Amino acid sequence: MIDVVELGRRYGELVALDGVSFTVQGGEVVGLLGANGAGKSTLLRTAAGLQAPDHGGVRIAGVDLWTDPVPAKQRLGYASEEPVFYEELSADEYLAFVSTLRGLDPAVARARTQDLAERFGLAPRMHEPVRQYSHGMRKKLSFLAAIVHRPAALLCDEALEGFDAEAALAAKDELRTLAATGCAVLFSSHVTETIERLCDRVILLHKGRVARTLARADWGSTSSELSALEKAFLEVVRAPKAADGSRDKA
Amino acid sequence: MTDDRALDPAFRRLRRALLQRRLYRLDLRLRAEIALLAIVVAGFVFWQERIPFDAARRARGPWAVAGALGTLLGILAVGSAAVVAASHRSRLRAELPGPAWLALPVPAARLLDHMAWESRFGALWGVALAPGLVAAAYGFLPLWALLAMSMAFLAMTWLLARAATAVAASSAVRARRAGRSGDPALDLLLEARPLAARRRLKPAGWRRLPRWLALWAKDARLTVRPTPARVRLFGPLVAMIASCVVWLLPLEPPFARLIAFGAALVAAALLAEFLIALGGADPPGLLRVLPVGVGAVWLGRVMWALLGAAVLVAGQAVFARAISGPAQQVLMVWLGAAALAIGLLGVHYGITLGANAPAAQRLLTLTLAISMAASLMIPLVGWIVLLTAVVHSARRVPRWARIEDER
Repeated sequence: MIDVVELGRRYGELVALDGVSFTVQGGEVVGLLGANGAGKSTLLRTAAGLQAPDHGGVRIAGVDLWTDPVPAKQRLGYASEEPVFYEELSADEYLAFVSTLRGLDPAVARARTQDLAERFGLAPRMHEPVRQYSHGMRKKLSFLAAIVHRPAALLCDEALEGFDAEAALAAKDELRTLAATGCAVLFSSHVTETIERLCDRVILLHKGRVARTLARADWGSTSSELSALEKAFLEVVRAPKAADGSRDKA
Repeated sequence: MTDDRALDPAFRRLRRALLQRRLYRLDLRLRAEIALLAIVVAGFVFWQERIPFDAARRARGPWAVAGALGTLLGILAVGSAAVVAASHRSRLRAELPGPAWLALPVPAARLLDHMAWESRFGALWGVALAPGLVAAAYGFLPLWALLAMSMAFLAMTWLLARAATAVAASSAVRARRAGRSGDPALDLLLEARPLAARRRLKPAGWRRLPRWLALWAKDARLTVRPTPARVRLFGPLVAMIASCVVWLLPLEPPFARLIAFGAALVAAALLAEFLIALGGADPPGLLRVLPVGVGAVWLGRVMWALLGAAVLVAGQAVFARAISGPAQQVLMVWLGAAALAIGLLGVHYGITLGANAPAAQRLLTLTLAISMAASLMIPLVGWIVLLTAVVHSARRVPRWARIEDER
């Protein structure tokens, strides 16, 4: 379970997150949708422990991320939008390193890594330094490092962007499998179609606040020019400024 | 295509900007180090040639010196041209650096010309050696002759470097596969590939390790790969060897002890710089999303400091045979404690300031310089300064988890 409570974060005078609260239950895939600058990446980075919130908190599977960070991160996976690596380690070495830090059984971690590498098309290049990887391969590796330990909570920040079609399918499949085993998935993307297909629920983030929450029944499948989810998104983004409150400048 | 001459001002501005950027990239300390290195090299060349020039002047007169100097300068110019040719040949095989040049309306020949300009910087190595040679002939030849030979050398180097790039380009064009563009220069650039061949590494070892040891093993692996940390490890190794070799030289034991202790302290300081470089090698945020506490990171790095101090002490134990038992023990205890304290300082600065390694290195240099100055003024005060710095920096270490916030 991912429990976000009254999360607030400022960059100078800009309020990036303004009292964001929501819960992602175990087994649920929740989409995070918002315009550029809505606060999605700040929310995910804060929930991953990369940034301290100004107020509020995050609990990962019941463990507070800021008072008890190591056990919380043990249960967490984070696939970032712009992944960074030790460029001179191979993907194989990097995943072995991450698995060791996560305390996984070496044999289990190795078998799981090999399986994932096959399915995501990384297997032939697992022994090459990450420096030689393309953008898409780096994104795949970041995703693999986030799920290799079968986390209780998974944060994906534009994680599938740059994946080839086969890997994208494998990733969606893996996300559903993880959710089926009780993992809480928070999935951010600009691509409404991916969110429509993958998520059980969608949180529309606008100017650092939760503007609306939609359940799958609210959008369904559509063949019109704009999907119901896209319409909802545009309604929120194009709403009169008066409705946004005084969030921009504190 | 744009008119070739219309591109001249743009390329002139580009070259000026590139030169400025390269100069600014060298911080003050690096510039001083390069200048010092140039002086050392010139001094070495001077020392090697001064006596042969003097012997030639005594045996065959000043024109024999001119002949010898001219020959050596000629060899330097030809050698520089060979370096330029080799460098240009490699450059032509590699992908063109900078913007997507081939998508711009710039003739391929002009791009080759720009690459040749870049390659000609290789001739500077020869130019750096020449002052030592000219200085070695000072006093044996009239000043006008020395000046004339220096100018002739510079002109010859410039001409030969241009010829070298032209020959390298021409041979590369001849060796290329038949292209379809009809422009040999463009075909050459289209065939260029990144220089680095695709590397494969050995399969990873999947082992259960404590977190600090996994971090240490990762650092060790990165240290043997082409990373900035590997470059930084060379200095402490050389200084460590020097601190041991001193005992093999015909020096009085007290003097040898002083030199060995100084060289060992330099080794410890360079090891601390290596530890800062290791901190800088951690990509921002990578470790902070993993279940790793600052204790494991600290312990993993402290192992390097302990290892360094142990090697330094062991080196003195083996080589410092010229001094008596108690004196040797005092040297080893003093040295081990100093090396460990300096290493700890490097660990702490690497953890807390690793993302800004140049600032961390400046802080380390400043701290060590103050400690050294304090020690020279009042014995043992340097220790107080050093240990205070270690304690103060240790208090910042727990803030590791929030460092990214502060950037």
